Amino acid sequence: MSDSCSLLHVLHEDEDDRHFEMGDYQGPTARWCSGCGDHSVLAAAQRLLTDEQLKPETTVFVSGIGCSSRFPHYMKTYGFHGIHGRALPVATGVKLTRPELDVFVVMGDGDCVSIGAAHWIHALRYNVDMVALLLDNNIYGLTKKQTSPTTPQGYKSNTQPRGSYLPAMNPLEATLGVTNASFVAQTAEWVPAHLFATLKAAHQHRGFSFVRILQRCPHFTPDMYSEAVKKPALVQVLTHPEGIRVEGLEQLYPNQVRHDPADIHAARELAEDASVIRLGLFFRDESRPRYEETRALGKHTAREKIDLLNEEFERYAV
Amino acid sequence: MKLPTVGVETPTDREVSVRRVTDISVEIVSDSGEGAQKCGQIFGSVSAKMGNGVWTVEIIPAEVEPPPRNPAGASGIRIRLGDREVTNWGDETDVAVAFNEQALLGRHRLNALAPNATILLESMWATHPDPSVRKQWEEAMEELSDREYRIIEVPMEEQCLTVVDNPRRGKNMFVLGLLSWIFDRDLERARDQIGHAFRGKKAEITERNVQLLELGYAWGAEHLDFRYEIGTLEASAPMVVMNGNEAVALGAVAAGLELAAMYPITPATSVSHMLGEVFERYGGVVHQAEDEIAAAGVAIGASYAGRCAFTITSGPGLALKTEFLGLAVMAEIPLVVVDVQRGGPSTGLPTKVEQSDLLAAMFGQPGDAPHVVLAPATIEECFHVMTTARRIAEALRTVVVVLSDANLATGVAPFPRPALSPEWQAAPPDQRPIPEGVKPYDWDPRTGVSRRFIPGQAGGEHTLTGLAHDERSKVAYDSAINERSSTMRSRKLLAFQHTLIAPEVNGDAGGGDLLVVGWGSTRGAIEEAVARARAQGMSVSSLHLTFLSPLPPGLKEIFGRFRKVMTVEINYSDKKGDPFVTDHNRRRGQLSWLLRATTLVDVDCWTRVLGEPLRPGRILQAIRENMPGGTR
Amino acid sequence: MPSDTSSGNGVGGVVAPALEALAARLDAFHSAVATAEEELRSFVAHRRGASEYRAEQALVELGPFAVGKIAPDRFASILLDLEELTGEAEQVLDRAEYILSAFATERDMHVVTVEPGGDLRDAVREAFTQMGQVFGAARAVELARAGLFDPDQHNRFLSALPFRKWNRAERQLAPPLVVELDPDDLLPTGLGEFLDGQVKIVLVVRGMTTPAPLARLITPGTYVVQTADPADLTGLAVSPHPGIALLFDQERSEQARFLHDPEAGASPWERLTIRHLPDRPEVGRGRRPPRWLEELEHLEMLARRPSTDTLPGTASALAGEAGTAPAQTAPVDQLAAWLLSQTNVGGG
Repeated sequence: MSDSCSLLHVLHEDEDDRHFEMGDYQGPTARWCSGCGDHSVLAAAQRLLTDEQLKPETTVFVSGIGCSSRFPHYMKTYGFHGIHGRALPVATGVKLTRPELDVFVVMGDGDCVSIGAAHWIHALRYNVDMVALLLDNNIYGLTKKQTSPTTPQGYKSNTQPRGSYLPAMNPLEATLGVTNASFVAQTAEWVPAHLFATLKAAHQHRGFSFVRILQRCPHFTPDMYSEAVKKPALVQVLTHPEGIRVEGLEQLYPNQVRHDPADIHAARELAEDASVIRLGLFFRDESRPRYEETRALGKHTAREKIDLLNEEFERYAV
Repeated sequence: MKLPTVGVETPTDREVSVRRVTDISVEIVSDSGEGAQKCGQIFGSVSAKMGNGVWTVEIIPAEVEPPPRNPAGASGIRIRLGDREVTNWGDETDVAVAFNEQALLGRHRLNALAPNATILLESMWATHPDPSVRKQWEEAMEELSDREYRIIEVPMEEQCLTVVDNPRRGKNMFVLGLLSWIFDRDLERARDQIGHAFRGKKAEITERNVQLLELGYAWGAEHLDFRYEIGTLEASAPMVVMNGNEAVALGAVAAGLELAAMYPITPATSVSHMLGEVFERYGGVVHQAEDEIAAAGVAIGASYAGRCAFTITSGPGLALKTEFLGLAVMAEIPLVVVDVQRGGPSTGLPTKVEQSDLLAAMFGQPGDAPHVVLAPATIEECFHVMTTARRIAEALRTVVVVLSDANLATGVAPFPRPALSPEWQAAPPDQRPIPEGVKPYDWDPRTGVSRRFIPGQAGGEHTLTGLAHDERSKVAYDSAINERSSTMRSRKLLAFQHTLIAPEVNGDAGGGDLLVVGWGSTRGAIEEAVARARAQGMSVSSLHLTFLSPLPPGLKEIFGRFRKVMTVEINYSDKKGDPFVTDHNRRRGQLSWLLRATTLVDVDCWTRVLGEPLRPGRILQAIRENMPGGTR
Repeated sequence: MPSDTSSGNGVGGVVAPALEALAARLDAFHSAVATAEEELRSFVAHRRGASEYRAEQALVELGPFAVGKIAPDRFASILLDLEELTGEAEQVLDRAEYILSAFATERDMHVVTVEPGGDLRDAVREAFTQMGQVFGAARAVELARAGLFDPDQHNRFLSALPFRKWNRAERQLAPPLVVELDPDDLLPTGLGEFLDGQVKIVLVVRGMTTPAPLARLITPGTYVVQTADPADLTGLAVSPHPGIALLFDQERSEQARFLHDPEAGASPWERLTIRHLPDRPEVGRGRRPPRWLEELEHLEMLARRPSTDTLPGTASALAGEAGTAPAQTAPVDQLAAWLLSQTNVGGG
């Protein structure tokens, strides 16, 4: 079967000599609380798109429900603000059938780690080429301070006023345990250079890039990372030539550890140890199979499909 | 023909009666794994090729491998033959072949056998070395003796052992031979079909099965004293024969659908099996998602991206997809959902038919979520419905739910081979730039329809949302905007309703005593019952609905021409006369609820949830019981 | 081996097999053009006098299931979104259809002859510019269908479209090209600018050339082959990379035969297979021009596995390579090899 396709539809690029500035990706002013970590992520994403010169019309941001899921509304690209916990299946459907689109997924901790946890696990396994951002502020913000799976044990909320009963879930540990996970990184909204470098590495990775972004909710969890923000020693940066490299970061964050992102065992050990906040690339393996490639749609014309279907009918003919 | 190619003549000293029939049902029942279904399928195909109308239904136990010789584990197939098109599985079975008396007992207890049925029964159990088996046999014979069955003992195993070592793997073809003699089937066609059924296997296997076929034929010719003769119809067009799930799968390809997202669920799964086998050769992808919700999500993502996707499920899965269906309606994303209905609620009767998802399919989504619900009535319609459903979903930018059911899913019947058209297939995603000023929800105030934006279209960048939104897709909690957008989504359905044609009355369009209204897979059985009732002089007609949401025009007017209107459905309703039941509190059949609410006509209902397709005879009885009293 | 049967031209006997070897690419191109034309024709048929055919169109699109259930005329007037064509759009589409149908089966334009003394690069550029009409026509169709065609701005699409204006998708569908020319006119280095997407060029030359004219076109992402056997061109046609071939009319010991396949490895010496290398001409006699020598040296340099202990920075480029110790090579060659391994010009 020839891989025939029409000249029409594939040729919309039209000698693209457009150059995009930050402003070309900026939608209306974001309506998050001032001091919310979402603002930093939005700025980093807009910078990334500018840096990579992604076309607004072929870039899709998919989100679920929550504060951070308003994200696509503040971008001037295509966006899909769907339902709680289900951003990943939608994004999978988009990328599976239109692999030429650049797909980003923005989820909160409730979205990804709680109601959408099944999709999260399986999206890692599908390894569809997209960037998945977990904007983790350890609390449900939009619905006004309920415990989330990543809320630290003992932390008080409106649903668990005597403090969270269970140990917090560690998304990195979970992610690194999933077969076929291919890119796992952690960064923090208060280290913008590292945040940007991480988004860039995630975008350049071919496969499902999972990035957990630690962030503060100035309204409900203002104290969550205040120590870490004040004392850089509490933050350890993973470094490696193959990892996320940020020039000059060692001056601000001298607490560094060398970690080869090809080493899954070391990655798991580092993720498990909660004594320090670690930023960097925990694991990357580009050789893992990507679902949208193993399951790519064919390119048959209507006529070819009819011919094949007619052959199939022979099996049912009486 | 006038065979027998196996060289056996009927002994002249034996009187063989030949009964001429226009319609007859045959059942073959066995333990699971003895190949009764394969035997029936070949018998059905040969009959279809010879020009008979055919409808076959598999008899499937709920377990994969139920214990052997167990009335509840009967596995098998019913084949109904006619001298014209057969549209349903009929009433009781006239001829049954049973591989053991317990399977037969199972059918007897379900009243599947005609009171005077002729039964060919494996004889080995009567003299089985195990006394408990012999005891079971005796008890079964005792129980069966309360009907006028004619039971003929056939030494199936003994005969098969002359050809094969393991008779478990041969009885079915021996039985095919028996039936071929009884019904005067073309042996050459039977040999062809055996070759087809065992293609890909070793040649010896086909040879051995042909030997068994001939053995059965010869045994019949030598020992049996009855045969049937059934007329045939001239096939005017080339035909294909398949079940409803196969038809849905091939119809999806013909409709240009490219992605089937699903999660395994009975009885829908065989569509995915079929698609998994053939779909991908056409460039389609079957995505087996992690759950029912994700299957809906992936299909919606693909549709949003401009590709044509559908998801297929059954009742429990439909419940899980509910939130996503609401999103697709709200954000105006085209989506086709196939629901192969089974018995409910909850896990219910996984392998058995019911029509109980109608109201859930229409009203299951919280909030007002207007969308299209339609139901194919035949296996042929299962094929063609996919093109129409896809086209409507795209034209209206909304959800179209297709309600099939376990009866269509497993029923096999021939239908005219479709003349495929490229126009049935979806166009590739529109990637033309969006002219300035066009908005993603530029609702046409007349129709509520707006142009679909697809990622890749420059100038169309916007964020789609399940929140209330204005024409630009901006989140808007403003009350006027919410009222307007709700109106627009509803108006699409009204505009579409305006394109529907009033359904035709089967019988007297001018009116009469009773109008039977049905929907979905029951059409064949209802129309057969109505024809019989009319032949008996009853003034009864029927009306069959394809579109349930929106309903076609003209119903109230049609209903007005009849003294009584009654739905016939396979779902639950309280029976008049049962404790506490009054006309006021009675819970009714689902279509009847809908018709009463929309037409204000006092629509009665007769419904059953027996876990099997409706039998025309039962419907006929219901018609008789429900004829309005007095004369007109 | 050369015969003059297929054309009056001296290399005609090699041109036909060369084009045949590119059949897969030619088919892909023709099929894309034909599909676009078919789509355009049905689009125009639907839209032209749209009001007349609307009901029929609705009837066909809805399929047999809808017969007797949905009124096609009402469906068409209420829900079928058919914009009528403006006269201007019709003209554009007619012209585009004419262009597409002309190219759907066209073969002659895929063969170009460079007149003796002519410029190879100009000839290739001109051929691509002419064939670029199909891409221009497709763009015009998209614009006209969207109601965005502006004659002042877009009329140029209905004539030739130079290669440098082709976008990524278009370069992937690039028409294959066979160029016949005299040995003296074989200056292929200027062709580098065209080696992008899925461009495939076969140069057919009769007579003696320099030993490795294509050596300088070898980059990590380009398929390059010199051969006298048309069967060797199969790899060129199916390679996912842009590629160029030099097809000799016969085997001569003075002409190098080699294959550079980007898929064959990460290093130049893994990708390059030399099947025949001419003897080095004697230097200093002044009988051979310097080009001879340069080409051969370049080819040999690419084929050589450099040692790992010389330049700083080469170590990372060679990481993972087995440490076999090749003969000492000049540092400048190693630098060139390293630079080459770091570039990705023309890569798919």
